[in-house]
Amino acid sequence: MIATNLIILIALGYVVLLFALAYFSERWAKGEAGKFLRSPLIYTLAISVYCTSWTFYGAVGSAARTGYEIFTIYLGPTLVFVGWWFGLRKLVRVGRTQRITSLADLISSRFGKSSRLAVLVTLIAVIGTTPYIALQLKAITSSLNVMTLGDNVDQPGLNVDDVRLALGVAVAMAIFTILFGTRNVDAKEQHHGVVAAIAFEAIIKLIALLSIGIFVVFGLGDGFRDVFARADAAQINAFQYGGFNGRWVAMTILSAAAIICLPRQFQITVVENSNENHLRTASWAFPLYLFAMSIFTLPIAIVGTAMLPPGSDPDMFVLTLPLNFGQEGLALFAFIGGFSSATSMIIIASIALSIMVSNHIVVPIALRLPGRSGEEDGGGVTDLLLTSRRISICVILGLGFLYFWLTNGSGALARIGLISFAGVAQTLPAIIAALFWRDATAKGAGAGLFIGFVVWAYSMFLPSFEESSVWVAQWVQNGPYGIAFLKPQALFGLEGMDPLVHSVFWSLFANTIALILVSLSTSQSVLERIQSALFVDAFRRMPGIETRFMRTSAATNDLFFVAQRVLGAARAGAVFDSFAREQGRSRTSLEPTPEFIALLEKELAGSIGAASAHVMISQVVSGESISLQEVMKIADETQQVIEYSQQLEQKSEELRLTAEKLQDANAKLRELDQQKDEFLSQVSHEVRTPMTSIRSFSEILLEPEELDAGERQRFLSTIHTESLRLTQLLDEILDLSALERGEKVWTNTPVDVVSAMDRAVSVCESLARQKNMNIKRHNVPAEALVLGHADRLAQVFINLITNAIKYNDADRPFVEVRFSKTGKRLLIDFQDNGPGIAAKDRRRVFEKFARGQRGASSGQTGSGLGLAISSQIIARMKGKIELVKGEDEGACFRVSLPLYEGEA
Amino acid sequence: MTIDVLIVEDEPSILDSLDFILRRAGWSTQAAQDGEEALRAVREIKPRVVVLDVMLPKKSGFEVLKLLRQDEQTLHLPVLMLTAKGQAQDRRIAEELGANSFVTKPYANSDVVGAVKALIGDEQGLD
Amino acid sequence: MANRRRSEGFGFFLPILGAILIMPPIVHLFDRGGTVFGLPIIFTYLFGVWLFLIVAAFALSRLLPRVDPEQRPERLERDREL
Repeated sequence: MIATNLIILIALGYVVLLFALAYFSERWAKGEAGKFLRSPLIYTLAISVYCTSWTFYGAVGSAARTGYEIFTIYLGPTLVFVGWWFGLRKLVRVGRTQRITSLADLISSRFGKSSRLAVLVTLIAVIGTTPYIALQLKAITSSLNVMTLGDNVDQPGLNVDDVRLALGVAVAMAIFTILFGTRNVDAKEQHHGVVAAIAFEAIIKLIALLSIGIFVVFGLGDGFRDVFARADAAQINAFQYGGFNGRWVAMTILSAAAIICLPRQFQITVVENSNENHLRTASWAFPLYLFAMSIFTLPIAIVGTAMLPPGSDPDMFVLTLPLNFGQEGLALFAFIGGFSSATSMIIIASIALSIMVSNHIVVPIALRLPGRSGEEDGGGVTDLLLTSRRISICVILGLGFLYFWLTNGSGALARIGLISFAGVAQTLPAIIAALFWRDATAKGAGAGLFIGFVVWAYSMFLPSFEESSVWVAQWVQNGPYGIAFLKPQALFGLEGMDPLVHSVFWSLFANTIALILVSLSTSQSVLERIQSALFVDAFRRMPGIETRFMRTSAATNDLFFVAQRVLGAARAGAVFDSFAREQGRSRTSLEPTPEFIALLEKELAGSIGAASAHVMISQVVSGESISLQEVMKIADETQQVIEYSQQLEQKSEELRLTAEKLQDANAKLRELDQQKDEFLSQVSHEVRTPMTSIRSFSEILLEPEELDAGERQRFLSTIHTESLRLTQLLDEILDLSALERGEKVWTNTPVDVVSAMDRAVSVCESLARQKNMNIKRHNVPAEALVLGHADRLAQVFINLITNAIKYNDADRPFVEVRFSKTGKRLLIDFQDNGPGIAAKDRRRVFEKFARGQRGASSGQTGSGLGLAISSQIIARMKGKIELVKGEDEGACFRVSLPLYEGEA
Repeated sequence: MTIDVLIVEDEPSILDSLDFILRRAGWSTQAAQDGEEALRAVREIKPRVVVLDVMLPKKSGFEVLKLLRQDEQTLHLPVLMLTAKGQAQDRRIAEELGANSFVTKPYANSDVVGAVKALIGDEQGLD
Repeated sequence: MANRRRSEGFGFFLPILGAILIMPPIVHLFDRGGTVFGLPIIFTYLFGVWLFLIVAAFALSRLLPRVDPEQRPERLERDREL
C-alpha cells in the first residue's frame, strides 16, 4: 500500500509535467520543432486518445468476464483506418477545405448551415460523452483506492472520499483544459500544445501497459503458452472460444462508428489534422498501436483470475497483480499509465465539446439577443467565445461528475463505454449521408438524428440508471406504466435479445430509415444544394461554385465591423489587408466582392462554426443584396454545367467507340474488297489462258490455208482439252463459292473411309498407269467410320492423289496412302516422291489459286482450287488437312478426321 | 543462223499456237518457258524480237524486261508484251519499263503477226 | 492510371475482407477448442487477421497515390486561389 498523499502528489507532478510539455510545445510549434509536432507520428499518437482508461483497466476486466468480445472495440477502428482511402480521407479533406471545427459543424454545414442540426448534434455529443467522462472519473478514483487501500472487496457503492476525489479530478482537469484548450478562438488554429501532451500520454500508457503485460506473462507466468495452459487448468473457458454472436457484430459496428463520431476522435483526426498525408501513416500505425495495447489483455485477465483471490475486481487487475506480488514501483507506473489515458480523454473530449457548445449554442443565442450586436469594442465576440468555452468545459466535466455520482459509479467500465459509443454512433448515418449522398436533406438528417437519439436514450441511457433509481428499475422491468410493449430493453416485444444489440439495432435502424425516408420526401434548400455539392464532390474541385452564390452591395465597413468582433482587430485587419493587396487597393476602398464575402464567411466559420458565421454575414449582407432567384439561378446553372459536361464526356466516349467500330468495319471491308479483287484477277487469268489457246487455234483452223491432217488433229484436240479445262474451272469456282457461303449443305452420316478410299484409288488408277505409277496403301483397317459424306470424301482423296500423280516428275514415281490412329482421330497420309512444295508456298497451298511451282515437264492443268475445296470439305466433317513433314522428300498431305464411335 | 523471234510463255498450248503462227509468217522461233531461261536465251541466241508473257515462273515478265533494259546490249531489243485485257495497270508498268508494243490475251493471230512485223521492220530500218 | 485503379481497388477491398474475416460465419470456423503453437486457435486467428490487416495497410499506404499538399488550401493565402 502506498500513502494516498504520495500518490496524489505523483499524479499532480505528472499533470505539471504535462502542463510544461504543452506549454513549451506551444512555443516550439512556431519554430523548427513545429515540423516534428506536425509529423504523422505525433498525429497517430494523438489519435490514440481513443485508448482511454477503459482500454487500460476495463479491457482486462471485460476479457475476464466475457472473453474475446472486448477486441471488437479495437477491430472496428482497425477496419476504418485500413479503409481510410474511402472514408476518412474524404472526411479529412472536407474538414480542411470547409474549415470544419467540430462534428456538429460538419453536419450543420453540410445541411445548409442549419443551426438546429448543430444544436441537436451538440446535445447528442454532450449527452453521449457524459457517461464516458464519468467512466474516466470512476477509473481514476477506483485506481487511486486500489493503490492506497488495496482491493477491498466488501466496499459497496461510493464513499465520501470517492466522491470528493472524483470532484477533485474533475476540477483539476477543467483547469488544465481551460488553460490549454481555450487560448485561441479560431478552432482551426490547432492546439499543438495539447496535441503534444496527448501524444506524450499515448507513449506513457503504451509503455505502462506493455510493462505490466511483460511482467505478468514472463514474470508471473512462463510465456504465452504457459498462461493459456493455466487458463485450461483453472477451467477458465471464456478464453478458449465462444461469444461470436450478435453482440460481437454490434460491438464491431459501434466501435467502427465511434472512431469517427466520438467528439474527441473527430477533433484529433479531422480538426487537428495538419496534412492529409498523415492519414497514410496513421492507416497502419494506429491499428498497430491498438494491436500492441491488446496483445496482453487476455493473459493479464487469465493470470489475474487464476492467481488473485476470488472476488477481486477484474477491472483493476492491471494494478492488483503487481501490488499483490510486491511490485509497487511497477504498480505506480501502471497507475500513471491509467491516469494518462483518463486525462487525455477528458482533455480532448472537453475541448471538442466546448467548441461545439459555444459555437452552436451559446454564440447563436448571444447573437440574437438585442443589444449584443450593437456592442462597440472589437473584442466582443472573441471574449464571448472564450468565456463560453471555459464555462462549457466546466459544465461538461460537471455533467460527467453528476453521472458518476448518480449512477453510484456502478457498472463495469466496458458497459459505460458502450453506452457512449452507441450514443455518438447516432451521428454516423448523417455523416455518411453528408459525404456520400447528394440528395440527403437537412430535414432527413434531423429526423434520423432525433429519432435515433431518442431510441438510444430510452433503450440504453435510461436503463443505465437502473441501479440508482427504483423508478427506472420499474420501467426496465415492466415497461412504463406497466406497458410491456414499451419495455426499454424489449421494445415492441423484441424479447430475449442482448440489451446492447437490442438498442443498437432499434436506434440505428430507426435513425437510418428516418434519414432516408424523410430525405426522399423533402427537398433541399438552395444553400443545402450548394453545400451538398461541396461535400459530396470534395475530390472534384469546382472553382468558383462557393464564391459565386452571393451578390451583395454590403459596405466594407460593416463587414470589417463584424470580422473585428469575431476575429479581433488584429486578425480581421490582416485578413482585409491581404485581400486588399490582392485587389490592388487600400483597405478602405476594398471592394466587397462575392469571393471576398465567401472567404470572410469561411474565416469566421473557422472560429464560430459555419451556421453562426452564416447568420452573422447574412445580417450584414441581407435584404436586397442576396436575391434568392439569383442564387437559385446560379446554383441551377452550375448544376446544369456539371451535368452537361458529364453528358458531353459520355457522348464523346460513345462517339469514340463508334468511330473505332467504324474503322474496324472499314478495314475489314477494304480487306474483303482486296480479296475480291485478287480473286477476280486470278479467275480472269485462269479463264484467259484456255481462252487464248482456243481463240488462237480456232483462228488457225478457220483460215483457208491447208493444214496437214496431223496438225489439224492436234489443234482440235488442244481446243477440246482447253474447253474441258475451262468447264472444270467454272465448276470448281461455283463449288467452292457455294461451300464457302455454306450453301452446299449435306448431312454427315457415318461413312466408311476405307471404301471411299477404294473408290478414289480406282478413279485415279488410269491416270497413274499413264505415268507408270503405283498407288500403294498401308495399314488399311477393315473399316473406319467417320461422320461425313461418302462422295465428298472420295472427291478429296481423288484431289490429293491426282495432285500427287500430276506434279510428280521423279524417275520412279509413286504415291503412298498410309492410315493411322491417334486417340479418337483417324489420320490418312498422302506421301509422294515428287519435287515437294517450296518452303515459301507451304503456307498458302490451301489458298485459292495457290498452285505450287509447276515442274518443267508439267503440261499439267489445274485450277489451283482443288486444295481449297478439299480443305473446306474436310472442315465440314470436323477434320483438317495439313501439309506435314513426311518420311520421303516429296510432299505429304495429312487428312485427320474424328472417328465415329456410335450413337453417343 | 540467227533466230528472229524468242517466245517466252509458260502455258504449253499458247506457246504452241504462237510458235505455229510466227513460223507460218516466215520467222524462225525459239521458246523459253520461264523468266530465267528467257534471259539466258536472249544472251545466247540474240533474237531480233522478244514476245514476252507477263505471268512467268521464276522471274516475271516485268523483271525480265527490266533486266533487259538495264543491259547495254539489249537496251534496244524490241519487246512485245503479252498482257491481259483489262489490266491497265500491267500495261502502264510495261510501258514505263520500256516495252515497245503490246498485245492483249486472248489475241487475234493477225495482231501478233502484225506487231512482230512492225518491230522487226523497225529494227531493219535502223540497221 | 491502371496502377492507381488497382491500388484503390485493394484499398476498397481490404476493410471489407477484414470485416468478413472477423464476422460470423467465418469466425465460427475458428471458434473451437484446441491450440496452435500452444495458443488457443481463436486467439491466434484473431490476432493473425489483425496483423495481416496492419501489414496490408502498410503496403497499401505506399501504393496509394500521394496528394500534393500545395493543392489544398490551408491558410488564408491559399484560400484565395480557390
